[in-house]
Amino acid sequence: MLEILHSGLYTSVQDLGRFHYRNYGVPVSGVMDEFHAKLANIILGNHENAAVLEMTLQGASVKFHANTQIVVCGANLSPKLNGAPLRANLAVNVSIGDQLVFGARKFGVRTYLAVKNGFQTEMVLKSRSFYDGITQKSRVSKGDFIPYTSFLDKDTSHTKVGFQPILFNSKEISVFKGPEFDFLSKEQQEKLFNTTFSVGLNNRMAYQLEETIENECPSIITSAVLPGTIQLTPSGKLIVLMKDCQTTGGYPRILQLDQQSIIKLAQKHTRDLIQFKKLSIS
Amino acid sequence: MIHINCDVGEGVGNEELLMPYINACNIACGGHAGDDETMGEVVLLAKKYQVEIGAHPSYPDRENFGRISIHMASAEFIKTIQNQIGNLEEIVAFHAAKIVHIKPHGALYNDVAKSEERAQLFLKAISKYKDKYKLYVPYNSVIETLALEQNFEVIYEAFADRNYNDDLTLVSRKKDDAVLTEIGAIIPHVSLLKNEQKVLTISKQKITLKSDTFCVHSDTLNAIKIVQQLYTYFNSEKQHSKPTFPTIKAYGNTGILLTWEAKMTSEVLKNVLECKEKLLNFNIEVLLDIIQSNNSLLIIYDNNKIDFKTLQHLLERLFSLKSDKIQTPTQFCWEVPVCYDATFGIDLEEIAQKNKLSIAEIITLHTAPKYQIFSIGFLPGFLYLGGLDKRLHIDRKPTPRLEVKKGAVGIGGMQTGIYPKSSPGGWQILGNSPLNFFEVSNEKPCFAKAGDFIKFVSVSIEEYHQISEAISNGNYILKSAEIC
Repeated sequence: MLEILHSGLYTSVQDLGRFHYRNYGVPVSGVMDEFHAKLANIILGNHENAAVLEMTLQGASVKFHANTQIVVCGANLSPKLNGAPLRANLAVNVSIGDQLVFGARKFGVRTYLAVKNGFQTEMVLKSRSFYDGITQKSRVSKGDFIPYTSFLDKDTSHTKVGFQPILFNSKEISVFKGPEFDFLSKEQQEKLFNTTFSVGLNNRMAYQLEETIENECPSIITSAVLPGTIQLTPSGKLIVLMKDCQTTGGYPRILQLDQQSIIKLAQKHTRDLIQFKKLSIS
Repeated sequence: MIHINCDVGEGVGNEELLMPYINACNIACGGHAGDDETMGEVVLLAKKYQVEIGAHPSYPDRENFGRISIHMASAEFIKTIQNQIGNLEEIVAFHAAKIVHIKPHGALYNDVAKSEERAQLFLKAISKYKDKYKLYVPYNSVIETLALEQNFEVIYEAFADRNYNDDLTLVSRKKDDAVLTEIGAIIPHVSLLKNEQKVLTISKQKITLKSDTFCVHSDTLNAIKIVQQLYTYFNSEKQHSKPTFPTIKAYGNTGILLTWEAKMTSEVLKNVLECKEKLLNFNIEVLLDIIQSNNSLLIIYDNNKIDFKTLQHLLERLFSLKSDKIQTPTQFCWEVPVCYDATFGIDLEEIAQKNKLSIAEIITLHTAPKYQIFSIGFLPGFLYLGGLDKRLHIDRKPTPRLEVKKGAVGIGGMQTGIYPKSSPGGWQILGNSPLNFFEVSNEKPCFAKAGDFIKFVSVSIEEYHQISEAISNGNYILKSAEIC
């Protein structure tokens, strides 16, 4: 078991998501930054869909009640294992009683803690991803115990994985035209690609962008939306949907992020800047 | 629109790729190629893609693939032709399919086009099928004249991928320019045949040639590309004008969005659900998920295995298939008990005032219709219902409530619905249902599905509590009726 001593700002268990229930209105959920969550699992030799702990801006403090191997990947939230700085992207052994504490944020937003064989929280509709109303909890809180299987092997993989600055530093967000892109006038379309947008309110459901596009677009009949879909609201604000987004929506879907850009955006904080770059379907 | 046929079951093995783009296939039935196994496989594929089946008999000469003329005793010839067709008939009957036509193969095709003796003999061999199957013939040929005299139903066939001589015979395969493999040459060739009923011969003469169907040889280099492009060029355009045909758009690089008319009507929903069923029926491996909404389907595909253009063509072909064989799941009408008591119906007074109705009238109007479920979204288990009486349309609350209770039945604008769990919300609340609309422990987490209907039934507060208790004890039986 992993004991939560301190929950951090928003910490939840996530795997790659809950598919095939969208026709019942169930969001996909899953890790916001698939690259670093998968990386953590790969370093430990786990299945890439193994459940990890996703932490946001302020990490949690945790205590291990069974031996295992762990790795931390993603944003740098200054992790310390028993008081000593812990390198990212490197598998280390932990023993019963060891404590992992996160501190000051140096870069990025979301960091992932993976354990050997993944966290074993309840599987609901074929996924362990936390989501309010589907799983018992939507986030972990102080005093929670998160199950994992004990693992003892002094050999770690020693895999050293470099850090990918482009996923944290680059402003560039690549987008395809969305289904309602053609509703926009030439001026609106140009403005989308000539404006540097700043990140506003954001959470696992969506990222709002501050700058507005003048908008006279009509609403559409409620239709499917995806993580990475950018909706244009009647007020002219852009909303980038993320992993916990609803399955359907009625605002025009003007752009669609590619997979890597969802990862980049998941590591952006309020007031960070982004710039759209147009992609076309080959 | 053009009609495309291909010779198949000849051991090339590309039938699954060809079928989505062609209208008819000529199945080798043992003469020059093919055996029971290949015939069976091809018949199943033809059935799956609703491609017309034809028998493709030949001189019995597997060694030369039926491409040289053979002299045979009349009785022997008739016997082999009838055996070949008979074999295919048996297999076709076994798979509950049907043969539409007969097309002779290779040297036999050429011989019956030129030689009266051979043509007479062949027609004698197939005379017993005269009233059952049509016969593919080249225009202005000996067999055409004789077949018409003997009241065979003929289909004029031209070759999309072959050059013609001035006498309308095909340029011999021994010559370099016999076969057209470049789509740049095939499209003008087919266009001329289709639009002017003329062919540009090898000596650049324009000569009349009638054609009802175009043959593409499945062993031609690029055969798949050729049928795909012929299909795209000639046959996709017409289907777009069909009213039930959805528009297809890319949605990112893993999604294809199909959108029907921008209406929330039963007819549109029927098209959407039938199309979804068709897609599920074909069990296409590259499709990962299909998300259904009121007038759209979003298909998520594996972009490591297929690209947008190819999938788009495949879908267009699927949609053009007749759907009368596709069974959509049985639709049910579910009885949903609702307690309209003032303890739950916290906005009844407001609705009564604004819409100038008594509370009893509101309940009567609200429980009268069968509401159709158009889709499930917004919250897990939230049903989008169509069919609310106009007299009950009312604006959402100017400020949403921070918490609307689980089971609350409300009206927002022109819609009515049930909150499957407690959540913030701005709808006007007129009652509460004790049913669970979303249970995570069930394989089907919601009892209802898109296409089904909901009928609200007014219950007293006592009945409401009894039902609640029965539900928590697992004793409640949901009432439903099949919709025919």
